[in-house]
Amino acid sequence: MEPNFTSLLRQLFQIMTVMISIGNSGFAQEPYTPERDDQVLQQLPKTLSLNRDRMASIREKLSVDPTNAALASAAAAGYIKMGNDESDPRFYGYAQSAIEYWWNAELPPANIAKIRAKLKEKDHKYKDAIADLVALLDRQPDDTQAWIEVINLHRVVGDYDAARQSIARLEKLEDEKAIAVASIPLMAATGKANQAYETLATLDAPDLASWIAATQGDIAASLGRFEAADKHYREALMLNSGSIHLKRTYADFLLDHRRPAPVLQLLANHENDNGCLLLMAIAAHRLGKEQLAWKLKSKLFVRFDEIRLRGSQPHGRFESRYELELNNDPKKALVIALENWKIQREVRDARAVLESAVASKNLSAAQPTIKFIKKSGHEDIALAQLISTLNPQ
Amino acid sequence: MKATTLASHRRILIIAIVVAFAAISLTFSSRPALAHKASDSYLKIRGDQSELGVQWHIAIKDLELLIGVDSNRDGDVTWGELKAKQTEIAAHALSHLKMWLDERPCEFEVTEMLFTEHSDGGYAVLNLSPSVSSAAEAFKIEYSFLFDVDPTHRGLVLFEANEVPATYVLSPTQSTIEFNAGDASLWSALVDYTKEGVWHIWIGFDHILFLISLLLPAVLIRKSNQWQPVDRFKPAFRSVLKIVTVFTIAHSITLWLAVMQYVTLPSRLVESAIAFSIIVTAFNNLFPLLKIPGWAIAFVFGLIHGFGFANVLLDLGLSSMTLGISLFGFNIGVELGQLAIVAVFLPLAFMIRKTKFYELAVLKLGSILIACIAAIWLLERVGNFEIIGF
Repeated sequence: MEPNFTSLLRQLFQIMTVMISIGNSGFAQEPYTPERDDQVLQQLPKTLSLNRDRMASIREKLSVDPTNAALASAAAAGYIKMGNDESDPRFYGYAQSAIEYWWNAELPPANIAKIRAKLKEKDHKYKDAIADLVALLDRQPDDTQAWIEVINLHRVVGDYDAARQSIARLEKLEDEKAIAVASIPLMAATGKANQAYETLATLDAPDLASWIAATQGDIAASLGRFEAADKHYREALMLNSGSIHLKRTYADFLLDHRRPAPVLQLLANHENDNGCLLLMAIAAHRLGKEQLAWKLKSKLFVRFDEIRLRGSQPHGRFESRYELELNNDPKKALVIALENWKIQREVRDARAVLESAVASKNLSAAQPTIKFIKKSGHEDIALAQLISTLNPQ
Repeated sequence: MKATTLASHRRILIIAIVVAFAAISLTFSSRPALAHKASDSYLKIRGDQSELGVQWHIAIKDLELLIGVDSNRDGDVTWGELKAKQTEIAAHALSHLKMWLDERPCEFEVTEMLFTEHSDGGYAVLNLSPSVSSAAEAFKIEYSFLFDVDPTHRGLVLFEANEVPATYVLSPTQSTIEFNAGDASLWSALVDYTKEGVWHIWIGFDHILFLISLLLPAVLIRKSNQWQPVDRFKPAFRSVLKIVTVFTIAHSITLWLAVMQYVTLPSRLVESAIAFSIIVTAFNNLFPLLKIPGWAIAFVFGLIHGFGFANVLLDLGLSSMTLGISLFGFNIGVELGQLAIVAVFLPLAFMIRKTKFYELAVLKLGSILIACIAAIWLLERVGNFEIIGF
């Protein structure tokens, strides 16, 4: 162990701040009467105000005709978009309500089945989502969108064989664009990153421009071509400036490359999103803005607390990183990361395991994950560095 | 400590066996579904003996969906806008909540609207005045708020009576709950955390070793630098009782301080200090360096061990509302676990206290062994690497 004076100082500072902030009990402040009538209590998602009338009218029609699949899927799609735009999961609940009639149905109409799978995916119930899509594709094997979704889910859970088999089925439909969209992320995750990158460059799909640029960014970052990655990410953000997912990905990239300063600006107003809140807290911490870091960290702590209170669990990918980077508890981070690894197996999930294994010096716990990465052939320089730290040759 | 009422050590042995079985039969449930924070409302009910207080926190975003509170549609909900809709908010909310107190239906009236923030945004707070003024023993709640537009919505009931909080989750599949002021589920929470406390002592070798190194000299007396066996069981028992009690008081203090987050220390520091405390205690059995009695050592180091217990308790993922009960239960569990150790150790030690074997092999060699293990732990914990696997 190399003694690190600054980290010691930082720890001391943390202890002091914790001692000062007495009684952060993890629950809401005492209710009060706001002083002025024009005090803003809550900013609403723009999409909510913009679409209020449209959504209200759809919902009204739906309430008298709840088995109308066209109406239901329109309402659900609208709410899913709001949920994505605002990263506020309550809208996924509203969407679920719109398709409630079919929620437990064995064979719902195709549109409803895809929405149901999407909502299950949002809730991290990947296996259930896959089952819904597989059941749909058994009946309607020409649904390219469902194929793309199911291939993506197989990749997310790390079942690359199933993903490849599904791609083989999709290829029969001879939709070049769909095949590319479905297979490129899989190629990138299974040792064909260069090929995936080149295919993206030749893909002629203006409607997918933002996705193409973002995926190019992911692959370039994985391969260590950081300048190119930065360029791609910024291009993607220019094309789709509202995407929280994209902002989060880019913010993560910036943190990886020791550029915490722009992160706070990039993610401002997205504290609603647990991932954004986490990255902001890390950025503030790295910038030495301890007070801000503390505020953001506390907010995240309370958020996790309230999630547990409703009988759920925070997303392991975020909670693990919170424990590792903000709470100095690598052992706990590792436990959470390993639990998350059972469910989700993307690069970030692998990193959560390996980083917390390195920090807690637990070589053996990381071995199954390392074996998985090696078997898949994933080329990611961050993962490769972590693996060589854990398994020095 | 209830130990004073325990007449014989046979009884302690029986308890020890029961506790051991309870600890072994513990099963850990898997983690519940992953989720982001979706829509929740918070129904805070205070049911003290004299009066009943009900407060309902409803997210402004949900009110926007249900009623439309952003009247000028500028995307900002102001206090003025919210106040203007108070009647509609109250009517909608009250039509989705039914409550029975001791089987009598209870009507509500909204007396006041306030505001607060939770981690996901602003909430309107309705203070409800019940038609039945006095508190009750049996509560029944039927809740249907927002379920028709959001099946993932949850109503979180935070019930507090006599300063003991309990939480209940209302969902579309469980929209009715019944509970009593002095409730069984409180009891079950207590039992759960007691089990966790026992379990932690059971698997926490460091606490066991610390306790044992404190207890080793209890059946002996040091006279002119020589260990001599005690004559009777009673003084040995009393000295053990003193040590365990003081240790309990000390670690209860820091456990409380840490869990309430008044003081938090990095777990590595705490774990290292715990290892260090074991080395010192074990060494003190060989060379009485500390010129203080065993109970004083137990107190000082008990303060450190309390932080260690707190880390475990916090790792269990506490929600702040069940904090008090879990803290209490966990503490009881830790005590039971300790008693089990004492119950096994003390009669045995007392039986063989007069033998050379006890003084040499158990006390001296045992202390050396304990100090060695603790030294390895200390190295591991300071250096943050693993030598031995427990």
